Amino acid sequence: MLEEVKKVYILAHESQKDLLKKIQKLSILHITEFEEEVASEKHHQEPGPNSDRGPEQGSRPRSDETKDLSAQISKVEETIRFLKELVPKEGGGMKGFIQDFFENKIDLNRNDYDSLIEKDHRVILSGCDDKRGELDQVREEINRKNELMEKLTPFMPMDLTFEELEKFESEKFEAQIGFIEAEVGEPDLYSEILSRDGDRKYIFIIYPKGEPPDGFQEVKFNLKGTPSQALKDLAERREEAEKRAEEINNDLTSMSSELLTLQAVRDHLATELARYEVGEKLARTEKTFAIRGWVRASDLDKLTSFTGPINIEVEDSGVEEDGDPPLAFKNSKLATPFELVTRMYGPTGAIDPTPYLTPFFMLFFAICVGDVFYGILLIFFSFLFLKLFKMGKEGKNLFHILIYSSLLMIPIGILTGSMFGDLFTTFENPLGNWLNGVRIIDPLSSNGVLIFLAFTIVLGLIQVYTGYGVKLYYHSRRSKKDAILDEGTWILFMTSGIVLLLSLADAMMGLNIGVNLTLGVGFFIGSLILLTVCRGRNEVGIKKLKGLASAYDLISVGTDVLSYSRLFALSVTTYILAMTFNLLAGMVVTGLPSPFGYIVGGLVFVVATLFILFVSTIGGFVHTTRLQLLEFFTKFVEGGETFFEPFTEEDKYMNVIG
Amino acid sequence: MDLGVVYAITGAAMAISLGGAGSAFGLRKSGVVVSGILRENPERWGSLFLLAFLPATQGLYGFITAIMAFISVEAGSLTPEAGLEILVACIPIAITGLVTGSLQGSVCAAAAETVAARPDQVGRGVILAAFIEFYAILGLMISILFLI
Repeated sequence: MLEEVKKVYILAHESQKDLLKKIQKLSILHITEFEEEVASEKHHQEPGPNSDRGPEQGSRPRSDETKDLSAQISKVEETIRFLKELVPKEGGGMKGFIQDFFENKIDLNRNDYDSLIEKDHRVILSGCDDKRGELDQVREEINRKNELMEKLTPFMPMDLTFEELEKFESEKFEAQIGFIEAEVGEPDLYSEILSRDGDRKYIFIIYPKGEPPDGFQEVKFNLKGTPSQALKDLAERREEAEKRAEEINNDLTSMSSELLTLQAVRDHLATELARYEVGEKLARTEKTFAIRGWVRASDLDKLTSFTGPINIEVEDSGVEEDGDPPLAFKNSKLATPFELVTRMYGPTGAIDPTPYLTPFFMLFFAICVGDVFYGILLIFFSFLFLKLFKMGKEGKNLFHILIYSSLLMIPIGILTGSMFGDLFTTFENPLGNWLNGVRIIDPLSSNGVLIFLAFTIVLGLIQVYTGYGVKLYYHSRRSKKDAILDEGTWILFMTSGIVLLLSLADAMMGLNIGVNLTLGVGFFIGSLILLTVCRGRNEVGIKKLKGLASAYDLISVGTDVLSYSRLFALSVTTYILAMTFNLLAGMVVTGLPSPFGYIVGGLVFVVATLFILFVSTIGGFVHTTRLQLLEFFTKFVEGGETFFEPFTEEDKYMNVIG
Repeated sequence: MDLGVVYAITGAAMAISLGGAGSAFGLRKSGVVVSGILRENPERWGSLFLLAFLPATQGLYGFITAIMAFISVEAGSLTPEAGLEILVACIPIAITGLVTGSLQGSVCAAAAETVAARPDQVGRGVILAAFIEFYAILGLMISILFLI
């Protein structure tokens, strides 16, 4: 449900430098843009010119400072990423891999946080930069040496030194080293093949000055001694560089102890930047500034008590009366995690659909997975993940959704006879016998398939009716008459459409449902006339018939309802997947000699179960969410407004306690 | 081998190979984009994983249909008509799997790029990808209904 929010205006003197900081720490005020006319109306103050006051006063940001803060944050982030690569992941292995899926915030008490952000992060950053720069240089040097050594290696057999080679040059001849392609014949000159490498021959050659033979490519080195001496020398220098690189790397690894500091500093800088940005939304005069925002009615006392002498004006504007209050959700413990689904849709206008979607989501998701043991495993893994891994609010909500929904999987699994698919129902055993006795749908019998499919369609119909019902309820709070004439007639018309279909099925297919065709047609036409009259009641001329056109929406309702057949398909998919892997595991057990058959078959079963659980959970969650957002919300959610987002401290890395 | 069995096996082969091919095309598209994003933003793995993985399901649907076709074959010898029925039953998931797998990969790749810039949009990206998958689910549903 939506909680009432109060619009507040806070007027403060510029001497109250840290007011905005306090509000940010309190995290209960949703600050909005302060329109100039509102400021002048409410406070009889004209907005003043920009000032150069700091973020504590909520002043208009000095763009250079804002830019500087953004640049600092980018730099800190970049260094955090670099240092993180040097630190082994917490828990390592599988735990580290799974942790990557969740936000991983560090719990820190306020004092420790304050002492971290007091450190001069610029010293850490420049120290890290220096080391990284040096490391880059050393690595470049190592690369250069490697390249040179590779280039020099083919000439190792040469006994001459490079100095001697240089002196060899006379007026008529010159001596060089280089290579020719293998297919080019050896030149008709004095030459010595030093080595061969693939398609090349590396040679020492003497030729008439300025007339190198065709195909000869000269190779120059700026080295001393023979090639083998030079190579040895290069190898020694490369080893020194490698040692130096290792030292620098160790220094950098030891600097990763500053990672925590940088993460705290990043959050602190981002908090400061947010204050500057909020400063743009404030109205001000030379001596005062004003904040406009929204506070949850339940938090109003907190705000008024902490601000003390500051002038706070509360405007009595509830959710219903005011057009632009942000949406502050307040739901039961069961429904709160499902706000995650609602938030995917975006702001939902004057209605919070969360409490209405909660039972449907639980049921639909449970149908998609629809297995007793998968439900139990999902509950187990959800609790395990919540216990073992650090995660943000969204992660916790997700696992609570899984836990609540999985509770329903158990009865659904029993009714469809699914316990690890058909594991217990294919052979004689007490559990299987009991399950076969209580199941009411066999998802793989032709009769069961039709019943199951029809059941999911009926569920869709119920949710669509609920959607229109919610719309009727909220409309009736404004005007009972209009609600009945608009939503009431539409619900009646929708019902007449169903009755017409049933009567047609009865008449044409002989289903013997007991719905007379005359009754069906009469009810439908009567409802259509009523809908047309009611929808066109405020129109004139040809527009009076617009209700007739709206009857076309019945087709869209029909397609929406058919969309719920995915629940059946996903449930059967899970069942057949389980059945298939049970079959494979069984083949392994019978095909291999005991006890290997049982061990390998057991492994196949465990891996397959985890795989099916994973795939079914993802598929079930995604498609159930889609049904809520597209098929359900569109019946009553109008959208618009914004979520209630209190002005708060940035907490990408740190969860500051206290 | 009975002609009916040949038909049935052909249907199963079509379901698994075309469904699998659709998934492979789709996974390539989403995987390439996600890998590129991870090079710059490795911390986005949690939100991108789902988008990279989504096009994998068509192959799975083809696999399920193929197994059901095999079970039908195992039930006894098949007349050519019965085998042909199984072959036809496999066509919906084979074609929808091939087409939707590839197209879903394109949507996932585009959604991954959006998530790279706006991590809060991952839910909507996944929902967009699920639009296309619905038609593979319909294909699977009809194939199963024909096979049961």
